[in-house]
Amino acid sequence: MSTERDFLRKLEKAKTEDEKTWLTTKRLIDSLSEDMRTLVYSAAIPHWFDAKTLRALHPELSRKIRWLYPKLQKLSFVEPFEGRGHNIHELTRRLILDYLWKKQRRSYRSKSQVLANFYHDSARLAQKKIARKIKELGSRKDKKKFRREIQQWAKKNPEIVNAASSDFQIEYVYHLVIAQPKEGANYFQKMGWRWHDKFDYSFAELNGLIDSVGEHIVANRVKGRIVGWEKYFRGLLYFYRIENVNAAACFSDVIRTSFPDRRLNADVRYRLGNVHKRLSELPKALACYEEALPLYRAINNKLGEANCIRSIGDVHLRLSELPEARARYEEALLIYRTINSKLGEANCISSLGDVHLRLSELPEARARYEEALPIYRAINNKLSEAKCISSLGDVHLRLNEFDQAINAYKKAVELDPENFRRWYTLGEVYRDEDIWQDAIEAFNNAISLNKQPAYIWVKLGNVYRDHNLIEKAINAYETASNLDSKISEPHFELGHLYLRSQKYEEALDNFQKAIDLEPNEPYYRNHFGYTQFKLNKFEEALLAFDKAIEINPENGEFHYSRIRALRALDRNDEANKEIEITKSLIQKNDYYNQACFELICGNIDAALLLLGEAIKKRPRTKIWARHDPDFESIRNDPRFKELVGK
Amino acid sequence: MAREIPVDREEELEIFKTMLSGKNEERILLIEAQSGMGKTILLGEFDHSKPKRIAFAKIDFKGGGTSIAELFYRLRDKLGREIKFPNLDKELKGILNPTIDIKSNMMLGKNQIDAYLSSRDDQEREMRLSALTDALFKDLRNLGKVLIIFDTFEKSDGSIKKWLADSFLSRVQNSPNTFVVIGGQEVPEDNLEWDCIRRPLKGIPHNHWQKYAESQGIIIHIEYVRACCDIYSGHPLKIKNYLDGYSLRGGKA
Repeated sequence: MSTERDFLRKLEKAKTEDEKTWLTTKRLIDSLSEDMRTLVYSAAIPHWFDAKTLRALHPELSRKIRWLYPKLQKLSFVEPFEGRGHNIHELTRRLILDYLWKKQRRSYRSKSQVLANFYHDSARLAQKKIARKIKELGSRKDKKKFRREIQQWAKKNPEIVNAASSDFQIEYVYHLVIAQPKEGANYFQKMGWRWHDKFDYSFAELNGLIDSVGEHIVANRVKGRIVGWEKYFRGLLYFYRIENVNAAACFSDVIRTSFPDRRLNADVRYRLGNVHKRLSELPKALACYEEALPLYRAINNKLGEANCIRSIGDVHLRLSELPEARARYEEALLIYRTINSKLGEANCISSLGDVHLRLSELPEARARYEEALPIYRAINNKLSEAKCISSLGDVHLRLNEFDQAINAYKKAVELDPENFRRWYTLGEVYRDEDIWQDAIEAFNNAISLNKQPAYIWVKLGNVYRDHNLIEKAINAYETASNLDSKISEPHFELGHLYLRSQKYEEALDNFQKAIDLEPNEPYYRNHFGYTQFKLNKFEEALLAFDKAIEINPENGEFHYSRIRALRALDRNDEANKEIEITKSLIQKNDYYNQACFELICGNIDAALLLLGEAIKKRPRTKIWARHDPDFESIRNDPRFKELVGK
Repeated sequence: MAREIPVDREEELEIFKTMLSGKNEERILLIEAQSGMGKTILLGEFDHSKPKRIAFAKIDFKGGGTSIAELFYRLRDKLGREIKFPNLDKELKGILNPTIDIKSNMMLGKNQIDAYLSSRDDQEREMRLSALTDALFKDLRNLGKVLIIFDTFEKSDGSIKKWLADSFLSRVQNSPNTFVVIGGQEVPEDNLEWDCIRRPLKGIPHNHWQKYAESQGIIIHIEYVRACCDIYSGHPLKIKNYLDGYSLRGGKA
């Protein structure tokens, strides 16, 4: 009994909790028979085990496994593992692995090699069996029957299905990095990329792989570049989950540690650049790309180099540094062509089109998009093709080629019908062209694909409002406001709707809400003022117009509103001065506001002529004009009615 | 084998039973404790003590690498196959024209869900997940009483953690017949959208271990049991290892 007291005393004196726990665990394992002890140590190496795994690890005990395995299951630290067999409890397993790593490293490595082979061979065999079965059933014409039969077969053969799953491949890598660290690191990187590029967006397999290898990293069993790659992939997963801070932390950590892997060092800088770009930290993004670029060049990684240059171009484009953006895209384009990267080539050409579009070089933009299109078609990249056609639509729109624009947007929707943005753009152009029923359908299609963006509801509400579907418009604006209580547009549009319906108090209330959310938006002030004006509160109206002018003194519309208020207050001298200011501010090609201005100066004929020009330029203008309070004085003029329709 | 290990978790079992009887307002039970405290065994006890006529699913994230699609598949599979999930199936069929790659995945239903949730657009993925979750809960509400147990929550991946803590539990709050238990070294944090009973597991006192030793025929002085219990603060796995080791070394009747 004194021995027991000694043992308890030893436990008490143990410095760490792990040490305390291991003393008891080790004593329990040492008390087992030699065969059982051997099995416990080996069973701790994989994440789960069954009789097959144990036989692979200990062929010499093959016959005994039949009764040793059930005995093993009775140990307190062994628990069932659903669908796989059993596992050593996490806490005990961690301590056993630490022990093996410190005291029996060679044996640990050789057992890991056995397990790597076991999982590799099991996975390959299972995949072969599945392929054979599919081939056998594949001749069936009835697809439903085929699916049913394969499903039944899978249910009857769970072991095969299990072994073909990614879990076995993950387990293979997990053991390989211990058995053959160099080869394991290479394979980890290869599998990481394979699962990264799978486009299933859950990245569950990549996540499983890095968590699994991460165990070895935490326990200091693997070192070197694999640690960097693990953190790199982890950073990528954070990036895809829009956890930018965590992503940046992982990438920065890899950069700080400076692992002896030139590809990793280039890639990680490029990815950190992407995080900064997403966060609109453009100078930081640029710095990262510029650091990555010479590293890609040093290892002659042309694709990395081209991607990096193109990203630099993207940053310049975002910074409106258009000549720099163009130069970078052209530089990247040459490399993509050299390495025959068709996607990169088409993307670059399309981006060059974006530069031209921003520079209003419309024929050049059109030429670029038309150059990119056949490449996207050749590589069957329908999504990029749709985006490119949509950009061509933008060019047509800018050239006032409305029919071509609509055709382009329709084609983009055909190619990419599950992208709500394509439907939204089509809805926008239909609305512009006052093809309002199609606009409603397009916006509704966008909403059926993605209910979240409040701005689509606002646009839908605008179409309803423009066509006097008041209840539906109110409903759409309220939905938008419920979806995103921080945005001001639904309140502004509701205010506008009530203003039109001459429900001035409701209008004021909504304009005030819009102002509360966005105090520096001068249009909200202007409309607030106009509503006050309609309520004959001219002083309050003038205050609101003054505020709008204070926010944006260069906008003629607000001065125009001020004229109206000053006149109502009989402050005609000030109003006349304001007319001069307004005249200088309204742009020559802004026919609509010129028409408003001429009207306030009493020039009805000139006003109607200019309004006609404005409507020719943009047909939807007539909808606005129908309800615009600025035209109230000529609303009953037959010429006005003819211009704006009913 | 798990049921042979002693569990002095009467209070937790009582909480669980009261929750299932509908006497509590809360229908979400969170069991949090460090490794080896007996969470999995307790969740196994919940499984054994649940009423017979209740739809039941238990999902253990122990292996890691579970995707949301796989989770949906497993829930549907365990709760009664697709016949009982008309809304979920309708939602999947509504948007899909699936090109199912059987070679890469033998879980055919999962593959269908994978395809549904695989959109390149973040917002669209979120929206589809939300629609699929709504459909799942519409079906769950028609199943009568449902109990779902999730174990080893800490091993689930980030997107599942987020989905469970936000979308899933907030819908449980509005599904009067759905009961959920989540166990793990970490569990979802408090959220205004749902109420829960949060139960951290404590160590088990020495008198219970004394009884356990007797029931196993282990002859051991109470002083040793008490000392071991103090050293390990009642930690079940560690004490069990100690007693089993003691027993194997000859301390047996």
